[in-house]
Amino acid sequence: MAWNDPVSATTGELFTASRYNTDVVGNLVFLKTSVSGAGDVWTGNVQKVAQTFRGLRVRTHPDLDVAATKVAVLGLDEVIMNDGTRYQPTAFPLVADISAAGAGGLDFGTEQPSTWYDYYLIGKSSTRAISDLRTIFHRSKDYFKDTSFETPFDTSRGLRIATGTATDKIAQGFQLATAGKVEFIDITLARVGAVSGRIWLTIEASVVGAPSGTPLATSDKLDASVMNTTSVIYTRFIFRTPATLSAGTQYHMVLQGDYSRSDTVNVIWGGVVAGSYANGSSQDFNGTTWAATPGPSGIDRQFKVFVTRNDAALVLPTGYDQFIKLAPAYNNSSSNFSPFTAIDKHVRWLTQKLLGSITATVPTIFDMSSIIPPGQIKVHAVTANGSVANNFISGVPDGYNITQQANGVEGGTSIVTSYAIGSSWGTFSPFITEFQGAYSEVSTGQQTPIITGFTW
Amino acid sequence: MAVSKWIYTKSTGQFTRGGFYDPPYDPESEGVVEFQDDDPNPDVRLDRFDPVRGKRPATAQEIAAYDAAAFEAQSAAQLHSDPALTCGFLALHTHIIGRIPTEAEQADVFRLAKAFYSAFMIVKIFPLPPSATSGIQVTVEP
Repeated sequence: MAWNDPVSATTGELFTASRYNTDVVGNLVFLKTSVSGAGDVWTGNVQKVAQTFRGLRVRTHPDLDVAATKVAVLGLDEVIMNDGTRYQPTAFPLVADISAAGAGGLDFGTEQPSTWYDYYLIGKSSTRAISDLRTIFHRSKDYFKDTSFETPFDTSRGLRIATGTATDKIAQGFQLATAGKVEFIDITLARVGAVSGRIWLTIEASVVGAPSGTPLATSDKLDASVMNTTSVIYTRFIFRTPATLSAGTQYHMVLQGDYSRSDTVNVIWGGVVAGSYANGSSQDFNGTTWAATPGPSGIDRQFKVFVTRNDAALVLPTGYDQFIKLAPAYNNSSSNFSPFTAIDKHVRWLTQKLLGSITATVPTIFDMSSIIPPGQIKVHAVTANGSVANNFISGVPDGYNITQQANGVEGGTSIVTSYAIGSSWGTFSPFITEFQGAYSEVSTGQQTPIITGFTW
Repeated sequence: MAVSKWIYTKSTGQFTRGGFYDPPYDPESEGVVEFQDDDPNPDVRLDRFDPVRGKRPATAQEIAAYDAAAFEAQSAAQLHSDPALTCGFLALHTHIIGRIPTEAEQADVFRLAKAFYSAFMIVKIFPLPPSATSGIQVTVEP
């Protein structure tokens, strides 16, 4: 199709419909994006960029007397709201106080401790005035450990045992106290021998007390060949298409694998001989039927089921219909904001966020729910160790991989502490994680990883 | 709600490890205590387990005992992490006596190297006065 160059306009010329058609309709409503390239016409619809910003400077309020309850925007060069409206605010700081309600406060409900809040900028399409811009807090979603069986393990059960009572699948029954989406489950696993294959978890309804065989949700498949062989450890299984489960209803989490059946080379799931979980128990599937796991292999298996809560939309005050999220802010167990400062989406903690002091030599999962917000997060961390050691940290879901932990590549990050003069502290390369978790371990000694900040 | 779990030694109340994970522990000799996220981590030097409040300030004697143990452990860690100095002492001693040192003499050399690192730890922990920024002299008494 040939391009007809638009007719040059002359000064003072009236652009009537017929005149405009010579440029647009005459070219079949195509837009030419370059005057030099052949065939470089773009045939899509013009779309506005929405919900983006640049030049943002936001932090807990710089006045220490109000920093516990207020977050302030100190600068914002340009912002595009959810509807594509562009603002260049000029009046700063823009402040919200979580103890207040509505614009400049909390969108609904009451302030909650140990809770993440999303800090939004809101505006009015009716005026499109920068003088109408306000900030507001909205409670973030959280992953609530609804039910679990965490009694220290004293036995285990191998998956895909070949003889005796075959275990093509192993299940643990559970019930929720809170209805909701289950996006991940942690269970304790270890590898025995050179397993080659994958393992995964399904959530299934209960039929006559046993798993139905029809998954309500299926987790990511994990590489069984790179699991640790030292001890069972909590391993996080993520359900990308999560099931929404009811409270007080019997369900089963079902561990499955595709490696060859073997009595000596398999993946084991930690359990407790005496059991004691009230709302379900361990069962084996021998390829035909389900039956209770033999007592010595554990009446119950170890697990933690997390329910996603408070996943609600921002409630805009009357008159406001534009919004954009500017920052996450953590309200700690004393209902004080954890001090932070941020440029664009890069957040830096202003107080020490120690993950802990760890001596474990196997990938150990950490709960970072008070340190990083939900979502895909890039984490910045440092660590120290008083010993000559390899110190590791990596994200969810990949950090169970001992290869990743061992060499710090493939998504993980590591530091060798030599404890030579002045070198006992080190900075990890940033790592990516999700669901507010991370795996960490140390080759020897005791490391103390500290999260210095994150990018959301 | 994230809670931080810390392990302490039952006999002393000394915190040993913990954080935002499930640290394994020996229930015979160790206990576990949870802290909220506004003050999630005890100071292993300055805090001890308290059954009512979770933690209490350590006594002067407890801090002194901790410092002594930490000093010993860190000096030993330095010694093991940097064997070159020990090798240097050993080579010098071998040169002076003109033969391979006996095991007892080697042990003396190791003690000397450790004493050096103890002195180093003192300098590291207690900064020297400004006037000593050049020509640092440390007296070592093995």
